[in-house]
Amino acid sequence: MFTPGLIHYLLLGTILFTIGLYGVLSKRHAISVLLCIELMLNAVNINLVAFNKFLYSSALLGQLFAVFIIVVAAAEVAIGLAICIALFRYKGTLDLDKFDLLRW
Amino acid sequence: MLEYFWIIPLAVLATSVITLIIGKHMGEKVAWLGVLGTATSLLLSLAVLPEVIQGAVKEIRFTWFLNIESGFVLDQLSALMLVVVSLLCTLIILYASAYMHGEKGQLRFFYFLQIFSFSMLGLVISDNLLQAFVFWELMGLCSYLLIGFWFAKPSAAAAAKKAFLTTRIGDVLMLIGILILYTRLDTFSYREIFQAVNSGLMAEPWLTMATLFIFGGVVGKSAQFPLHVWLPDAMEGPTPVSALIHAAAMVKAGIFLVARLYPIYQLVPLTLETMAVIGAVTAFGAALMAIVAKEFKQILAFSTLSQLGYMVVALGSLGYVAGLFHLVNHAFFKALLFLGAGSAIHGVGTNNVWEMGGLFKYQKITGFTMLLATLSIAGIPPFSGFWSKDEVLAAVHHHASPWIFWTLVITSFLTAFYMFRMYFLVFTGKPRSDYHAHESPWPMLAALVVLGFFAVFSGFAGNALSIFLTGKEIAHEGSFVVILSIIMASAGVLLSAMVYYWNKISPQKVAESLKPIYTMLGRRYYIDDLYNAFCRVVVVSLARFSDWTDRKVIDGVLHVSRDLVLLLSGVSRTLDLNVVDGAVNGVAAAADGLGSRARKLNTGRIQDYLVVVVLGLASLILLVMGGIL
Repeated sequence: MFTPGLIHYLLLGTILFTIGLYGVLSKRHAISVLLCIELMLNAVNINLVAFNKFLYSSALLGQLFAVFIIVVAAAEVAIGLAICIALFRYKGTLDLDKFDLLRW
Repeated sequence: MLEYFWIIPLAVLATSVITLIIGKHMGEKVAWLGVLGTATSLLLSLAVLPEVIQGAVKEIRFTWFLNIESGFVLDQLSALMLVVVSLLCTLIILYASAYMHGEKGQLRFFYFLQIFSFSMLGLVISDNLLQAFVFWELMGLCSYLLIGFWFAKPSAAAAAKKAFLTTRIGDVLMLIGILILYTRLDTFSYREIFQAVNSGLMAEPWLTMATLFIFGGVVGKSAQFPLHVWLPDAMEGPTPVSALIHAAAMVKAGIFLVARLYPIYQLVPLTLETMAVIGAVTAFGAALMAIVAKEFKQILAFSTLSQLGYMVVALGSLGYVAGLFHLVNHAFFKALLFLGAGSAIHGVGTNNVWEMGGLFKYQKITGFTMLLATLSIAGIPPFSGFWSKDEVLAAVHHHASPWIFWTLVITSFLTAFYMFRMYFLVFTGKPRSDYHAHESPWPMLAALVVLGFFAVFSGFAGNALSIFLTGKEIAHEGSFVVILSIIMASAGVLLSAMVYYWNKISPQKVAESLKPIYTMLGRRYYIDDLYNAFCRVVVVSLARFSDWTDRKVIDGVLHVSRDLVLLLSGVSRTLDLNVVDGAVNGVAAAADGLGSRARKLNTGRIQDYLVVVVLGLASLILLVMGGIL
């Protein structure tokens, strides 16, 4: 039966991270960007846990760090949403293409 | 007192300066400043006279500039000239104060007259040729300014120019003579020149040449042939000017100068003979022209030429005293004649003697004094002219060739004739035109009367003058010359009376029968026409040449340089526009292009910035992993 090794989890993490990165760079809606940022964070979590499990199974450092990341991600989402609300109040839309005040 | 004799000219100079400063507000009273100045000079001249008669001579020297010395001398000759000149200037300016009434330019007129008086007085006390030359030229300038006083009148302006240019030719010759003396003797001073010449320091051709050239200046200034042409035209000036400058003073300057240089002139027979010939030619030729002249002042102008000729002949015949005696007498009666002419012309309103006539009835004092002057110049005893003319003829008879003598004798006859022609036509007979004349104002009459007095009595001072100037009495050598001159003068008066007083001979018929001669005399022997034609040819050809040079050569150079400059500037412009500006603009365009393209990176959208960050990070990682960084 197929048993996933470390490389498969790292690959999963990479794929998720790449998808998330692509979304951050290309999504038009601000909330979508936030979602993709979450996705990138979660991909990192997978990486951390996978390294922890396969290389240092006796320690808990990787998992611990993953929990930290979850907490920070939550806080960051809160702030991110606050920013989105502020943006919406300013412009009436959340289309990131429209926020080009620093344009040449 | 004698030490300050050099102040005499300065008195007039001072009043002339005052005239300049406050004259504008004085109107016609400016004339009295002039009278004041010249009268002061006169009194001072008279004040120094007694001591000079006693034999005193004063010299003053000072360094003028660099190493040139100059100075003033007061001896018998200069004392005499000071008195005569200042007296005449005073009387004539007095006359002019009334004569110029109503004219514009009072300040200008009397200022120039004062400057002239100053120059003449300065000339007669100068002790060296250089300073004398300066005053000589100053007088020439004043003559120009005063002849052309009515400069808006073209004939007056032309006459002034003619006078100045003609005398200038003489002045150049004179300067050459002065410089010959200076280069050989290294001095301008009269005394040093006389000493040097007497010591034989002057080699022969040079002495003759120097004296001849200086005489050239005399020919110009004293209007002898062939530089006589300016004097008749100079009558364009106001009558006081004609009287003072062209009868009594300036034209005498030449005679004075020869007298002054007599110690060297009497050593050069060639110059003396030349003087005698030129003087005789002038005297005779001018007398003939006077016979046919129609304008009052013209007659007097020719008469002046003629009498100056007499003086030149006298000096050329070793008649030093005779020449100076005639100079003094002539100054008085010629000034009187001119002033009287002014009075007559003023009264009648015309210049033409044929339009006058019978003036004596209206202007008795003028008429009477004019009669005295006419008798004097005609040489009728006992009037002054007779005495001095007699002396001149005696000197000529003694020392000059018979041709010269008989020419002058005939000229005496002519002189009497034309002068009385003038008198009869103007003052006697019936008025030939409609005029209203009245006697002139008192300043004019005063001058006439004083001069009349001298015209009568100055002749008796002949012996005194001779003793004063040379210490010797006049030598009397028999009565031939005396009787001859009396006969000639009387014959002249008689013939004149027959033609113009008793009307027995018709002048018009005589003129008709001698038409060619009459025309020639009227055109002044065509000499003026000759000079004019010559000048026209010379001046025009010079002008053409200059014009050609200016247009072809100078303008040619200008055009070539212009084309060159245009070419160079064209190249420079192209360089500047295309190359330099091209480079600058190119750089700017590059910066602009680069900038406008590069700024497109600043979209303002954070996602685009993130792309760049990610790409940069990725390349960094790759580079580190690949070992390059």
